[in-house]
Amino acid sequence: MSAALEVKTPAELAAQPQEYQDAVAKILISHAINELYGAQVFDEPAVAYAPTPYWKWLTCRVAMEEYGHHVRFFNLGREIGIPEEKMIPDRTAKRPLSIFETPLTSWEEFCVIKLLGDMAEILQVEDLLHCTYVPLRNAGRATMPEERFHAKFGEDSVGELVKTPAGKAKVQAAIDTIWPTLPSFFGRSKSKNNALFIKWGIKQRTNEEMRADYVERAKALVAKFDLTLPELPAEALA
Amino acid sequence: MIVDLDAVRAIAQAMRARPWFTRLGAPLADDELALALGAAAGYHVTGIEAVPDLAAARALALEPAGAPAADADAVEARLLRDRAAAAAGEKRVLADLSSIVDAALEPTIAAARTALGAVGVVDDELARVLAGAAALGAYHAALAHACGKPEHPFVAIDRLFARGRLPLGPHRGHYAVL
Repeated sequence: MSAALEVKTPAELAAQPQEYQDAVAKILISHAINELYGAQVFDEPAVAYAPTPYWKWLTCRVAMEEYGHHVRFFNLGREIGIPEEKMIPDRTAKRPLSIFETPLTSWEEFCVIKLLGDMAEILQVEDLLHCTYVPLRNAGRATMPEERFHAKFGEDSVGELVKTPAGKAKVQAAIDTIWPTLPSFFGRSKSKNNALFIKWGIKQRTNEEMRADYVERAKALVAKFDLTLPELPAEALA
Repeated sequence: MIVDLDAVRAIAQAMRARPWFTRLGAPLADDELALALGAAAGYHVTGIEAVPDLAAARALALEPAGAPAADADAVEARLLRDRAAAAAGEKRVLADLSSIVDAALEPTIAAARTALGAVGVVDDELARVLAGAAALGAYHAALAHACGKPEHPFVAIDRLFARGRLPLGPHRGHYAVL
């Protein structure tokens, strides 16, 4: 059904089955809320932890771009009639992803979040690139270059930090703290929402497939720096 | 305290038209020197260091010694924001401050890429550093204006950006400007 479906405008969306409209709204709300949470909880506070003006200004720009992603998804949501309060973290009852409940305490943690957390975001955005709702597909395409840069920021900053034994130890400690929160970024296995997204071609892969891909990519990435991921309890991968 | 949110909106509206980064490395004009001295006063330094080029500016910005002044700016910005929020309401103040970020998002990065391209540099990281500095300068100046402090050093720093310069902050007893 979804293979031939291509919905180009909010007006066309309004003519689609309610189930499809609801699925598009859910994914837009999720992206709008989580992009803003990320900017508020990690990127803005990280400016204070950055070690030099150069890294502070760069972090400031990254925070602006994450905020800009929120605005992009927020505007798409508004176009299809989603109430604004459903897309603003302080005004919605929707709980944030668990990763956002871990307070940021150091520059090393922020660099690890950019390295591994933004890789998770890349996978999520990649999955929108063939979305049947074309405005969402286009938003994914517009967002991808910046997300790739943010992940590169993570690689470059971690690459700098691991040049000293003390820095490397701090990065490993940050990975040990942050990593257990990250696989849940992909949602529960056997999620009903995920099944709907796939049914309607809004997303392409199951949560389990994406999480497994992510874990493999993350292992390879940290290995480049001679770092390791801590073992996760089975429930973190379920 | 009366909060001047019109001044915040005026800065947001001016973002696209500003000649960002168009005078990097040019000799300091008299008005730019006056602005640099105004910025320097905020850090208790009196001399001005004219930074010759982007490579020197990058090296200077990478010195950890510059971080405390930037952190002090962040503390001052928070104080100003709290004062404005107490007087005009947090939601209203934050909404208007968000308009600065909205307005700065595209023009600052586009101008930074153009400025770097003009001297044969393709460096997306450095472009983001310039864009981040410029947006932060506008945001700080907006806070100062909102609190009715047009003579605040934040305003002088933002005016240097608005003239096409890159103010870099205090450096070894001087205020550095590219």
